[in-house]
Amino acid sequence: MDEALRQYQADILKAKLSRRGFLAAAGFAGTAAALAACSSSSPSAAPSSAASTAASAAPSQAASAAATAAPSYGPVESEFFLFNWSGYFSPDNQKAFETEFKTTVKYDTFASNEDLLAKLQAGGKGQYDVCVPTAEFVPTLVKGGFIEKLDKSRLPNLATISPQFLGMPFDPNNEYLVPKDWGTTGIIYRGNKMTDPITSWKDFWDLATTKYSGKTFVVDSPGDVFVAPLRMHGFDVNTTSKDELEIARQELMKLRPHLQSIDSDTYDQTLRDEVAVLGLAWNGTAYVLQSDASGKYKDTGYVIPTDGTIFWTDTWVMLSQAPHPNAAYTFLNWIQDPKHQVVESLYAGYASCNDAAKPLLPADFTGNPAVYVPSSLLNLLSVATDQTGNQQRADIWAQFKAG
Amino acid sequence: MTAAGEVATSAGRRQAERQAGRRARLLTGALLVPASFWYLVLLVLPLVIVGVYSFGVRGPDGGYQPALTFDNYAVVATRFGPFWLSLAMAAAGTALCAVLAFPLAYFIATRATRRKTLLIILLVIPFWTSFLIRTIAWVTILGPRGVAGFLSDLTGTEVQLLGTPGAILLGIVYNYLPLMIFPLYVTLERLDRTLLEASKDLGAGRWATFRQITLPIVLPGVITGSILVFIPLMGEYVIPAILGYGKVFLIGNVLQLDFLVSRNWPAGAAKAVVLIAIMLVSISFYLWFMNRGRRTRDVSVL
Repeated sequence: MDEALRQYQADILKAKLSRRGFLAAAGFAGTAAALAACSSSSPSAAPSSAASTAASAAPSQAASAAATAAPSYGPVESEFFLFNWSGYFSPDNQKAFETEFKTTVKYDTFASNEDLLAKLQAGGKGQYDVCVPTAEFVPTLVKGGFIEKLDKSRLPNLATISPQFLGMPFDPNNEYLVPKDWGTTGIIYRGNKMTDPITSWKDFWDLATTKYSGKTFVVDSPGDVFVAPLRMHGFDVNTTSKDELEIARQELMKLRPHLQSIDSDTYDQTLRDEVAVLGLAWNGTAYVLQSDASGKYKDTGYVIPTDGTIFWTDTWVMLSQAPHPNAAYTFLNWIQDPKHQVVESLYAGYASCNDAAKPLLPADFTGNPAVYVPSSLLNLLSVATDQTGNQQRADIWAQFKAG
Repeated sequence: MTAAGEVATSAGRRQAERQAGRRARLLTGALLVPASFWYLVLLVLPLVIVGVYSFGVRGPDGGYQPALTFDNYAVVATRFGPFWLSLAMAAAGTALCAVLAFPLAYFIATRATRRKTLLIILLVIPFWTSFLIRTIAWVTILGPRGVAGFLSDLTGTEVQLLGTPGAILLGIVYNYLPLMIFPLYVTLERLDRTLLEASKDLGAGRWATFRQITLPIVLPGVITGSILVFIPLMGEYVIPAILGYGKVFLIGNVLQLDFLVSRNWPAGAAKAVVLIAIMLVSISFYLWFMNRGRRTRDVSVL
């Protein structure tokens, strides 16, 4: 608790802060300390088996942070290079971070985890400070030597991370990743136009191939699209069984001629325009449409299919040879401040992994089943692992894309 | 002057000439260095790497791992659809560009007189805006709030333009048309008008003059323009990705999938090699076909 304060006092002594910056830092240290207290006492409501280990891990990290006297790291660099999904970092937060630390955020985007990996493999080392892979891609990034072990003593705010997201199988010792937010892959629809009852992937297939043929889309992401046909038949989402994947292939090819688009970038617009009224997508878009200022898209619905789907956690990681390490650490710590988490969650429409942020979020956000999965449905969710190396899947996907 | 003196001067002249010749050769060599470097390091070497990779296997975490297998080529044979679609799209796009560009190039070269410069500037202006932005603009134009919406209202049935091969073709022709216009314009501008007058004087009609005089003279421009349009079209990836709603799957999109999604570099490399082979064959055939007519005519004239 007071280690956060001490850290901040040390920082303040080192760095020349503007008055505004000082006030922000002081206020921030206060809330962080208060919230750290809540987080370690609140038991996890998560299905994660890691909860118990994580609950004990969090305070011990905090203790180790307190033990080390804050060494001098130098000031925040004048630039900070962020490599992220598009529309996944609040412009308000960006402005706040830039003014507070007198730095400039350079924000580049990638389209998918595969895209991120490919760009790093093709020589992206030393180009960026922080990037945002989904948790299941972190082991590949570690193996490739693309990301760096985090110095937790520089990240006191991690104490407020929900234990559910600590000790994940992708980073069992919490060495590399900082959970950003989490969401699900499910069924999105425009209630005004798609009036039939829908509860499962089976329903989705039936409706998409009949009444809503030509009005249905899926995201352009194999990892998400494979979930539907596999769960429809009760198979594991990470299956490598040839027969099961063959059944998935047949289902996908059955759906293909009825699709309006295979697209991850503009589907919110096609839903707005009612060009598509039904889709396999991520939950954040549902909230973004429902809460649109115009109020025209309140009818947007989101369903966690009863035959099961995946949940995923996006994470902040620090790239090796990061050109601006001080900015990176400052940012990773700063963004975990609950009040910045709130801005971030409301912007992207995804649930924060930060326990301390949840009480600060409006009730219609935390109570929205499209954002925070109701606890009764948590048993429907499983975690996907990176399957891009599976040749059969790659082949099926190429066939699906070609139609 | 004595005979011996004459011999001495001519020998000296020869030596000087030889020196000058050597200097010229050295200069030529020096001037060729950048182009040779470009050709070897930036074209031949990458091609060799692509060739070598195409016999490898995917590394456990993606990328390339050395091996000697023909599997990547065997897979290409079973998934040939995108190649055909690309070939059809590129051929149709090139033909459409040629048909649309010819009258315009002809007009600018022969009829535009004082407005010539203005018209050429107008042709270049679109290039001031990013190719990407111009293509994305078509999403709005063809989309539900644009032409498609208008047609839907008009006909009472739902009309979708985006995500169809027609939309891709439109985007292709729009973006590549100037590449066809300029070579045509250059050859048409050099067209000797007196030949046309002579043809007329000798009693040839407009069509006969066009076919026997204009077209053969413009042919090099048509060939240059076609190659300039056809080759990048075969690898086109951005236009189908933007206007195709992810549903029109050309060979460029296949390569993107292999390299950036599956991260299976050898599979992508094999497809790239096949693509290069297809282009070599189709362009050789095209050149042979276009030149065949000319050669026979030359012979008949003789």
